[in-house]
Amino acid sequence: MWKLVKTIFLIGERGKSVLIYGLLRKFSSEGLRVGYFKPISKARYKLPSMTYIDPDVITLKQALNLEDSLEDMNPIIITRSILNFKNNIESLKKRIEEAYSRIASGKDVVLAESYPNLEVMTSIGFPLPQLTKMLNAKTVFVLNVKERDVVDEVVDKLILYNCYFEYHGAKIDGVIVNNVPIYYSERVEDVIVPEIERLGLKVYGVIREKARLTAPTVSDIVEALNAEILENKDKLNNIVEDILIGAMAPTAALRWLRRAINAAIVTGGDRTDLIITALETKPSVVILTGGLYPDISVLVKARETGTPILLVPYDTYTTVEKLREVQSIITPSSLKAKETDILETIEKEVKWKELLQ
Amino acid sequence: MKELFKPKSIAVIGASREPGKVGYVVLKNIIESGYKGEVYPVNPRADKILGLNAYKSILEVSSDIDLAVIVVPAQAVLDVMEECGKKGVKYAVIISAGFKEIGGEGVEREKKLIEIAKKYGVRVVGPNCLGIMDLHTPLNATFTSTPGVKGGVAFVSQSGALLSAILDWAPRVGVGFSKIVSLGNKADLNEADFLAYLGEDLETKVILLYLESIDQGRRFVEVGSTVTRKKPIILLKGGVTEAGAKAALSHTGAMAGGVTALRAALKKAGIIQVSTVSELFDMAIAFNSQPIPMGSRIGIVTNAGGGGVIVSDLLISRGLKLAELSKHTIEYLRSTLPPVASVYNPVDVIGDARADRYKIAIEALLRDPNVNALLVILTPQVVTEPEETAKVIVELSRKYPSKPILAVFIGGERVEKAIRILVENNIPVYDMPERAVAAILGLTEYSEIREYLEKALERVEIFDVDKEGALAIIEEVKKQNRRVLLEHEAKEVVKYYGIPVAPTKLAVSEERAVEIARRVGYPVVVKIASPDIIHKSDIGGVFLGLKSDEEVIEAFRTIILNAKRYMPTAMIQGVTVQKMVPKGREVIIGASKDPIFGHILMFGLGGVYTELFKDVSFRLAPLSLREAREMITETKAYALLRGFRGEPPADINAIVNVLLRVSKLVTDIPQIVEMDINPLFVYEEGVGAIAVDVRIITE
Repeated sequence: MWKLVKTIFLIGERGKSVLIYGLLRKFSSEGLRVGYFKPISKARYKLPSMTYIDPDVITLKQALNLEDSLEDMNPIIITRSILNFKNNIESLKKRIEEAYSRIASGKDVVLAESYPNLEVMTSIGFPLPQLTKMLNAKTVFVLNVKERDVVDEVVDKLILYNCYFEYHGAKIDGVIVNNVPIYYSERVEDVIVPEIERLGLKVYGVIREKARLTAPTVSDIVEALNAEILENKDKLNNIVEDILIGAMAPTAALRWLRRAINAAIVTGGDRTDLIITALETKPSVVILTGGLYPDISVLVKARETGTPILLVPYDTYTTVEKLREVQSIITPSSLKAKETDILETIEKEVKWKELLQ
Repeated sequence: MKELFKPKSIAVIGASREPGKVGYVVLKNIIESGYKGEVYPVNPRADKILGLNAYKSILEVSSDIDLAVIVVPAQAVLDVMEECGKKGVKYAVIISAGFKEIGGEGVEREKKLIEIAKKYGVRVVGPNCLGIMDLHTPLNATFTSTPGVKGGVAFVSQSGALLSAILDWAPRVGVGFSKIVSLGNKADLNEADFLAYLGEDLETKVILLYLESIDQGRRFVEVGSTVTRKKPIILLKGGVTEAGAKAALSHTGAMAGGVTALRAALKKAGIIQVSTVSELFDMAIAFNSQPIPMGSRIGIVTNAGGGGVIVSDLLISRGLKLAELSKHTIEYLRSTLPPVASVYNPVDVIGDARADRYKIAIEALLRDPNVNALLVILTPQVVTEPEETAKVIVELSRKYPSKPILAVFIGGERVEKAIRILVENNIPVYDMPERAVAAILGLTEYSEIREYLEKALERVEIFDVDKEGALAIIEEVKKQNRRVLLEHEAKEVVKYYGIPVAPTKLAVSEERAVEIARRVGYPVVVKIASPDIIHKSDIGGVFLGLKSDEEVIEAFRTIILNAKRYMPTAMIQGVTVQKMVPKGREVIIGASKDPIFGHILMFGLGGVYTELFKDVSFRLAPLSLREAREMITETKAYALLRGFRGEPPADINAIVNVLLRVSKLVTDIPQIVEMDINPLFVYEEGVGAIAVDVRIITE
């Protein structure tokens, strides 16, 4: 058995939560007891108890069946002000420390996740490097390559943050290069990776761009849109990867319908021809807008093809906006839907054993 | 289907004692139709119904039952079917409603119904139908109140209500029926099954269909093309929407599911399509009693100049020809008709014509070999003799049985008796010229169809294809959870089917792009490779005529940037590098899978012309050699390809070859739902053609 690192702190750009889910699944399948810790998060969601919470934390707790309390997994939630914390940094640190010790007790490994902005709380004298030191964590920077027009920029960014960490007496241990499009692959492997290694940082993984590593299920959509299920109540596990608006004549729409994979088709309930045509292309779900109840033939066809039909009161535009929101968050079912892909990615493209050493 | 239309015994399950109930009407109709076999009413709460002994269950009947007519409530149908199965019933006509048409539980019930029927081998008509009729048996197992008249017209309808209305109306115009079928939900037996049977049925001369949906498109076309060689099939298709007809036909993808697919299918099946109920029956009247004309040249005899002009206009506007009378006929008419009469076609015997003058003109035209079919128009004027003229028509029709005669008697009371004479003597008669023209159009169309089907449909065999190779690529794409093939993959697929393509490779980096460009040789074309981007040039994803490494590198960078900017969510796989081929004349060849009829093929002139002029032709796959040729010759583009104003002719045989190979490809690999070769560069005669861009989408 190798010597284990207790805490790995993933910092950096988009795509961390899915990575953390995959790593924790991997670790626990290796027999390790795992924990998840997000010391500081941004408030995005209000619980019925009127307390704020980051929905990703709930999702990871549910998806991984973690027993720790939400308050321990995510002790500090920033709602509006950061500067207000200035006067009670000590109690803030104490809260984090205590929560962490509860999370860490009885665990073999804890994955911590940073706030989206790495500079957070520098203003009040409690910068991220200090936090990673406090937790005695191994810090891994997640870089997102896809969003850049000039891929070499990632190295500049890395150097900047490396300086920031060194300035505060901490260090970045390594990097995971995430979301690498095919057309950047050769550059990343031949130029970027050696450059990073020359900086004295380890490269724990190069992850290729995937079409989608998470996808909401129809039941996520039902919940988010507060939709009425008109047909196939028992078939809500389909995943939704694409959104298509049916506004054209059915024959013209076929071109788009046929190209889409696991699509949600959004259209008016009165567009019988179009819906019937759409059902032929095996979409994941058909969402009828404007509260318009469809023709009986639509429901008959849907029953035959096994496609769920949802009815929502919103107009098409609002519906699509809400769908995009659902797509951008991760839910327990959306992680499970693509679990095989996620685990395969971890297995093939991340040096997960080295992360633990 | 002998046991359905001519059963030895019938059980009416759900027979009722109460007049007005469906179970009562059906039983009464069977008895009153003069049915000679055994009839067993089944009703657990009755001893006798309409004078017949009633049974608690069909299982209590000791003798064999051929046909069960089921009218019990939907909830009870499944149990009843189970009993029918045990009893060994051959056919069940299920009149009861409450199945698929109500959705929800009804869908499940229909599914179970079919399971039971399959288990016991019972064939089912309906459910949710009006019943069936055979006027020759005679048997009326429907709940309509009109019995109908015996004749040679078979009518198969998806609408029960339309059936009752037609039955009520038919005797007035002289339509007699052989068999009548109300299809209902078509849970088991559908239009194709009945077509196959009626095609062989000696009592049926013409088959009329009213359909709202077609269930097994491929089979429908196959059966149709066999049957139409023997007798005409006329179809009125409901639910052909205007929106569908208007949809832009310039894209391959727009072809499926709509009117185009239906037309292509009917063409292949040789089925005549009409768009009104009136046309359906106007044609039926003519087919029922008249021979099929040998051509489309029509002779007209009229006593009103106006009538002649109107009919001529109608005929010509609908693609028929006015017969040019022979010199002999003209001279004969000139010597026998009054000097003011018109002796050219349309022959105007003028207002004061009595029956004898009609006789001279009609007989002269019937004898003229230049006339294939005859229209006789009569308007009641002062000395006109409608009844006598009708008798003349009847007499001459018998004398010349090989040429069809159709009468148009325009008027009210004064022609009423004459019309009755014509109807009773099997001469089709119409009250308005346009109706007669529709009918004669049907007759000539059918004569063309019969001739066409003989020649058109022989298969072509293409052997030099590699199906396994093509399938391997498609399987690999499927494994990657993609429906869209990238350009280099699509080209590889068509190459396996012997279609020449411009060499194309995928490059994932600038360096690879340059390597490939050097290998295939400059100049090259570089295009974005992404399954999510349909219109590559619209997003700045195509660069043509690149001549150096530097240009290729620049193109690679720009294309990736453009694609990311215009479609940030698109999955970009790199770029394809393709050897630039010499410019030829651009055409498009496409295929799209229709959910009902299968693949339809498209041919059209390439570039902007397709969209601008909609100059495209369609056929249902698989193509025969003749169909492939027709697809090209029937477009306006043909004139350009043949060589316009001194331009050398293009290699039309090469286009035919590609069409046949695309047809073979989509027939062999039906997972391809859409594909197009756009453009196909066609070179001068003998030089060939080459596919410059190919798109394929799979299921």
